[in-house]
Amino acid sequence: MKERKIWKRAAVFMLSSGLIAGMFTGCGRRSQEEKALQAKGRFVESEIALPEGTGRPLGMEYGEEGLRLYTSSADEQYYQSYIYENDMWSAPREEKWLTDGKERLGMNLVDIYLGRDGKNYATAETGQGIHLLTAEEDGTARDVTPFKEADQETADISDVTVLRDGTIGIGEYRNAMVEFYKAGELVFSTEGIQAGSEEQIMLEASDKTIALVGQDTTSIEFYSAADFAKKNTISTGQNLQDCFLVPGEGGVWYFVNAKGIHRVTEDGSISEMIMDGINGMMNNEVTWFLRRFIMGSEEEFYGLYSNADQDWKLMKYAFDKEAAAFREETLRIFSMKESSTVTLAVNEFKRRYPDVQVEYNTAVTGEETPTADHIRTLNAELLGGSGADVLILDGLPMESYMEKGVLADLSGLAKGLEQSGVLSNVIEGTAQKDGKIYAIPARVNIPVLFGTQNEKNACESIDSLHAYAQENPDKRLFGVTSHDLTGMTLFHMFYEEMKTEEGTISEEKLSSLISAWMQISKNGDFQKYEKEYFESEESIWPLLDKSFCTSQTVPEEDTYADVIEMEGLMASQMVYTGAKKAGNQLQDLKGYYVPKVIAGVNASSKQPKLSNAFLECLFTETVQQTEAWEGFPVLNSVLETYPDYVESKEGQKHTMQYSGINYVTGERYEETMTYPTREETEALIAMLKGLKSPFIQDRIISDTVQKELEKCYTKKQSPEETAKVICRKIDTYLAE
Amino acid sequence: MRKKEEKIAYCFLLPSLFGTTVFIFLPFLDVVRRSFFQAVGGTFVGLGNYREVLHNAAFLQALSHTVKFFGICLPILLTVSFGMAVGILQLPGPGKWIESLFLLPMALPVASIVVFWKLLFHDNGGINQLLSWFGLKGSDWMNTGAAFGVLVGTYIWKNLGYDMILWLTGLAAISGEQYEAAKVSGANRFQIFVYITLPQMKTCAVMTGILSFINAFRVFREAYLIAGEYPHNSIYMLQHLFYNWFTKLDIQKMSAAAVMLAAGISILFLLLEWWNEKEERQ
Repeated sequence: MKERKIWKRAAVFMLSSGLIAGMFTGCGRRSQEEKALQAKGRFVESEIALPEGTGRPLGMEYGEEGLRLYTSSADEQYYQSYIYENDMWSAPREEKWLTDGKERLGMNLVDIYLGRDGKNYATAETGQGIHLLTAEEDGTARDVTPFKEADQETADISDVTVLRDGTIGIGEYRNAMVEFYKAGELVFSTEGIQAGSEEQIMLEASDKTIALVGQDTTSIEFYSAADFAKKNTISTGQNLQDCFLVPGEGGVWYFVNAKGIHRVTEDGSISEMIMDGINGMMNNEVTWFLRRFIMGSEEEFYGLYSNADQDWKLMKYAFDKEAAAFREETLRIFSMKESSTVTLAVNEFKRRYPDVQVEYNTAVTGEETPTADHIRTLNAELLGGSGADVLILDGLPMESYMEKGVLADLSGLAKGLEQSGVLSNVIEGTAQKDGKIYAIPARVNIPVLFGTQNEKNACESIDSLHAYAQENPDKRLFGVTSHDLTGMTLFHMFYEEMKTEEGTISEEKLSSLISAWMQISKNGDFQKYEKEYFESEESIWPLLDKSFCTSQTVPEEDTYADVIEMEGLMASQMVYTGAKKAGNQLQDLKGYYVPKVIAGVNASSKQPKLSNAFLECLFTETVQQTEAWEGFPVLNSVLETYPDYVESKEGQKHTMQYSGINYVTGERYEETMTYPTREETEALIAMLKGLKSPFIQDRIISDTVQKELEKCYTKKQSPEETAKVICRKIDTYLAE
Repeated sequence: MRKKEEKIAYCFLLPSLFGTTVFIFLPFLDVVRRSFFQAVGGTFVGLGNYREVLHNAAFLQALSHTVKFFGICLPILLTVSFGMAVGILQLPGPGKWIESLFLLPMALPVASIVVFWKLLFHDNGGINQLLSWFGLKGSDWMNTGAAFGVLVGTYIWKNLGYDMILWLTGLAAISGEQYEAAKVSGANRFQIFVYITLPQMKTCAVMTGILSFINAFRVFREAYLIAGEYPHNSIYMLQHLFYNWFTKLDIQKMSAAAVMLAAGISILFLLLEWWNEKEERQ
């Protein structure tokens, strides 16, 4: 009996200990320092200077002789190639077959391929499509395009691969087909990825396997090169649009996208990232585009990049055994949505601080809209002390963060930025509290009002809007618009006018505004035109990421007004073209500017110096002068280049074409939009420097208003009821 | 012997107690601590957060709606579920499957209920369709005062079966001999119910009431999924407020409100417990 009791107690004790011990699993941590010291080896990126005095790079291949780079000559008269060996470029060798293709066949070279059969191939364009050329032994080019119509018209080839037996694989981007031809006969075809452009990579081949990018843009399909039997499909979980596929050895494949270089196997047993894109140029999609990516020997890669100015860079990616796998310091950046400006700043920061690991995380990717759940996730991290070092506050409760002491005081940094030419009105106006500055916007949008005078006057106040709507029952007030754009823009325009002393919204004024909006919608017959010309009933307002937008293009009406939030010099083309048509200057909207890419530093950050250094990168000329469609730059030195630029040859060339529908006559019209003149640009810059009132859209209020306006528009509730509901919800929100 | 048995009992309770302490009690102590400090930064503000919360219009509004919701829901739920339990007890053996039927709503995932509710109460939903057949005009149910009724109905529908099972447990504990003796003494059904059944259900009533009270807080999930962060005023409750406060990082207010709520509920439960013990002693 006693023995049994001892066993019972022992069992109880062991069970309890086991349960308690299980709770502590994962609690032990090795120090980061120990980890860093132990792990070595990672892929590093290095630049290979291009041969001096050469023309435009066209492509490259890696063969027995090593890396061969193809370029045009400096005078674009012929083509040549260089071999890279022992860290040097060889003397150029004229590629007579390419020159022959250009001169004799009249084709301009597009891309170079090394076939699995060991022969050189090139795609070249004529006025009638893309042709495939190969080098003959006598140095001439032979057209081996597998399909030609009688008049030499060919398909829109975006990608080529040639198998060991000379079978030619073609990726046609327009109809998303992949076809294989042997001796001119079609032997295999299948659907490929819907190409976003004629540069889309659709297929690649090793000696035994063909790899196609799947239609779902995230998978790779493998086929046998011998009989085209499907081997396997692997899901990569990555966006493979604009990726490059590279065959390795023994069933291993590599692909590169903005996220980095990845290794996968045909059987799906391995799928891993071998180099994080944030440490390389592939992540810098805003300015540098990856044009070609090949593998050299033993997991060594080469990437050829170009930018909008036709500058080129050749980068090498190789495994460095001595490089620390973990960088000692990490800087973490967070934003709700991906920002090109932040990406540019990250690249600038990496250039300045190559030994610092940068992690840029976003709540959502692509077109997804962030929600309150994402904010709550971030808040949980901030409370736990593990939030990012740098916070991009667009879409976040900035006021709340300032009040709660989440953001660090940036007054010192702000002073320095002001001295280096960042606009003081923007620095001081956006996120200042108790004399301290907590965040600084790296870009600003400028909302403007333009149009014919009568219609502009109507936009002065709610009463004038009402009066105009009543007096002009047959006139459209705004240009090419819809009910949601008009409703939300008007709400934001008159938000301050509707505010009471207590900070709530006047129900009476809101009701009046909604009535005016309904009248305007009726006058403009929005319902009819939306039904006829809009593809979907879904509101586009959430996708616009703007606070003011009554139109998305230049209207053809004789009389109209528009309120547009300009998001950069290029976006201003539409506004100035519209203003010219109306015969009127544009004016600022109540002194508003809309701060964008608002950067702050987490007060609990363990990297305050690096965080400040990153913020400085946001305001460098390199970052500020790049057109990212996220707002005007806030750096004076960049703004001052604008008047010269709009007058320059390059500026004159940059026009945008638009084709629209006149909603009254139903006829199509075309519009060429150009930059503003020098004087107009100077006036715009002067306007920007004088804007004092930041307008930051409150997501909760906007979402509430949008939902209720929709119900009013569909006659589910009257303007008065709508105003009542909106005011009640906003009152509750503000009372919190 | 009793002490020894108690010791063994505590040993078995130890892991659960430990988990509850680590994951509930200690975090709650942290919440109490935070209620006296600023949200971030650690500045001590004393009772400032409590004063701020008690003067917060949104808090008072949410509190009144919550109290109203509980005040209406709980009596209805307890009464109806008790009545059904008594009724089911009278059913012959094969009729017991009805018990399982009433438990189904509790087993349904919240997401499924939300989808179903949206189909039913949407502008173009089932109820409005039905009304249009009779020439009546429908309504945007979840954005009018009817939202409160919908939420009450949801709560009662979901918890009816659960409460009924709890009542049935209490009813089953009453000895059949007492009923027989009462019948023999000439008592009618009503007298048996009032003088034998009801008095012996007090403890069960307290327990069922407490569990129903706790479950009432869970109806926020349905309310939030159907009507969002800022629903119609009638169903804007404390949980909405806490949720929204967290989005704005108003942790100090959340903590103060949570402490006050916990204190209020604890006092209520203690009073119930005291009354229950008093009744038992009597």
